[in-house]
Amino acid sequence: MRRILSSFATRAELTTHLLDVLGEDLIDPEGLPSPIIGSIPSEEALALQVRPSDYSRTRNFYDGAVTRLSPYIRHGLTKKDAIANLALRDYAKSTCEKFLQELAWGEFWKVAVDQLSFDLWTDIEPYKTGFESNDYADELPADIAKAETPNACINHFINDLTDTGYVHNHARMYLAAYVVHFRRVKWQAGARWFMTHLLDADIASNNLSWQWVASTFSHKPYIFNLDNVEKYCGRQVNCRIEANPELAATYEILSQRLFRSGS
Amino acid sequence: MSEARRILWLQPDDLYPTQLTDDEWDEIIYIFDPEWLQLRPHSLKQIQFIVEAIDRLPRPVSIYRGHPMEVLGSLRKEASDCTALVTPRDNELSGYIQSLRLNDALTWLPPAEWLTPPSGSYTRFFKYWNAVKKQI
Repeated sequence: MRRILSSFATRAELTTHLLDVLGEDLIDPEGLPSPIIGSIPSEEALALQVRPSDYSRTRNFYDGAVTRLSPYIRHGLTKKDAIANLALRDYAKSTCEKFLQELAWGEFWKVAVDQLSFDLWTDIEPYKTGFESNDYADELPADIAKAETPNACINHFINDLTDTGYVHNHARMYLAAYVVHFRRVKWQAGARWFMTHLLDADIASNNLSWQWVASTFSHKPYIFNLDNVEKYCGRQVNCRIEANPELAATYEILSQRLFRSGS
Repeated sequence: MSEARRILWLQPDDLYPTQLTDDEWDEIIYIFDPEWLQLRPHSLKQIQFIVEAIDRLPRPVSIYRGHPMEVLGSLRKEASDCTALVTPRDNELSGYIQSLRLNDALTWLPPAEWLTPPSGSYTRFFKYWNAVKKQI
């Protein structure tokens, strides 16, 4: 048993101490801390981040008005009822609907897990891709873990994940679809990968979201193409066709390429 | 004989529970359990975020690396001492803590809840949303 200290003059000193005491327990004993600092968001900070009107218009864009509060919510450092009340204090309920739904998604995943009583790592339903579970690889390919895939935009999102522990929700869907459908890897491998990096990693939200993309907890698989990434992320992310060869195709062609018998 | 000591054991799902400041505690602790970290691998980013957040809480928190049985055993002065924890939302973590067979010494506090789970079975979001949105 060892005591862990938390107060240091600099973040770097805290990092050194944590690696000394916990390094052998971590997946990345040579790792770096996230630029996102653990703290308790002030009311002023929350007020700046919670913009339901902008959120409903721009949430799917990489630079949209998402709150980025999920790491703090995940760890109970700010509470969902406080955030909902803050939104409803300044905006009409109808304006807040999409924002409140986003807060409610995490509650839904938890309810689904509790009510369905299934193992969190088991396929809830069969894949609707024309493939069986054993057609998918068990392990995450090394080029994905290292952000060295053939696609610049995917590598950009992977670096977000591994460098900061935060990924925009739309980019999470792109990554999940890329891993499961473009590379035909079991959703479980991707879910484990996200769980080790995301600051807001929540087992119910994470695993059921991966199953939703995979189609083992939804009616059909979720896929995307380069046009979609360009529309939502093109100002920040390299979406040139030659830099993203696996993604540059129509949905019809991708469906034929990725799924058996056009699922 | 001294009075029973009350220990609050913080969990990653709720580092800042209302009980932290609403109730009186003799000690507040957080434990990094190496066995749990084997089962649920973590990165430095995640660990440092938690420790930084704990450092900013309005009550002092002692942080340990060790098996919970060993840590709690070292803090327990009397048989009547009790440890409370807020039930984690994470079903795997709750199950793991229960498997440690510390139950006799633990008081499980209810987790903070925003929306009361509706009765019935919900496997698609919008059916769930329609059932809960009146609570907001």
